[in-house]
Amino acid sequence: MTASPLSPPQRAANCGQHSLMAQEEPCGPSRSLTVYSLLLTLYPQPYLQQHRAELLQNFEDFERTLPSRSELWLFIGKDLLYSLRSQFIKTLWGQTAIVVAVLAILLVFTRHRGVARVHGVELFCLGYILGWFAGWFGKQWRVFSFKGVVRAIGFGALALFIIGAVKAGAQAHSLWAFCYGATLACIAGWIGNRRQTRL
Amino acid sequence: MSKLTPAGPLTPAVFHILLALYDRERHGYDIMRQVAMDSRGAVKMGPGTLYGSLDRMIEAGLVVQSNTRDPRRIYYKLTALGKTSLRAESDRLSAVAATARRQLRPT
Repeated sequence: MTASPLSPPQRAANCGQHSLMAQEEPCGPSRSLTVYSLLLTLYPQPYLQQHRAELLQNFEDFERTLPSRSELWLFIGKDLLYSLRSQFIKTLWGQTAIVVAVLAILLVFTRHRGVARVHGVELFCLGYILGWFAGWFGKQWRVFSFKGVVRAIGFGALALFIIGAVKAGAQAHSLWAFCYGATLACIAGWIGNRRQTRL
Repeated sequence: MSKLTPAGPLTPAVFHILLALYDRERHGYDIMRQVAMDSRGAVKMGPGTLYGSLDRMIEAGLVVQSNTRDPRRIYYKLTALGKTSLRAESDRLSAVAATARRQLRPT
């Protein structure tokens, strides 16, 4: 195994010591490390719980080995942007933000262009959101053995919603818009899931 | 059964991590250094990207954590499936490179 760099307690022990062979060790965490530890809070909690200590240790290693601070921050900044994006997309909040942003743009666009049947667009959005959340919860629960039951409950609820809407006198084009939204959400979820599970 | 499957071509990041871990277990910083060396600087992986890839690889059963006593220096090592996947990907890349060399040969 490779010799690991000094750990923080070791560094703290050497802090302020002089020797003929080595220079004086810096005291306490550097300002860069403090800034980096603050930036780490942007990561989703599960990822941070698992890797925070390792990330900080790696930052210290890079801080020691890279020749300049600007090079360090350029490297770390690129890594943060890329990894934050991929971690954030995996979370419910990230996916919700994307869905809401896309649907908001769609709504604004259709209103701005004066597209007829605005209610159809709104029902499409409702269907899309419901379909998306159904997909999300299905994905979260698929590790359990009763995933078939969960799926059946989801489809059952959707069918009940449509039957209820028909009984309440909903128009056919509204129902089609709703079903179209839900179907598109299922397709988008399937594609997203395929992308996420690719190594 | 694992959610992720190593079937099909691996991404360069995953391939290089498998390669770095082939002969011995390493911690995160050591993996990044080895990947940069193996790729002659072409693949530079940061810590955030590395642990995202390692999480997916653990889920796929390619890699396991081996020494978790110090949370700052967790070591990772290949599983049998990881070794098989690395060999399969190496063979695939060799075949692709051989085809490319044949086609690029000056006539």
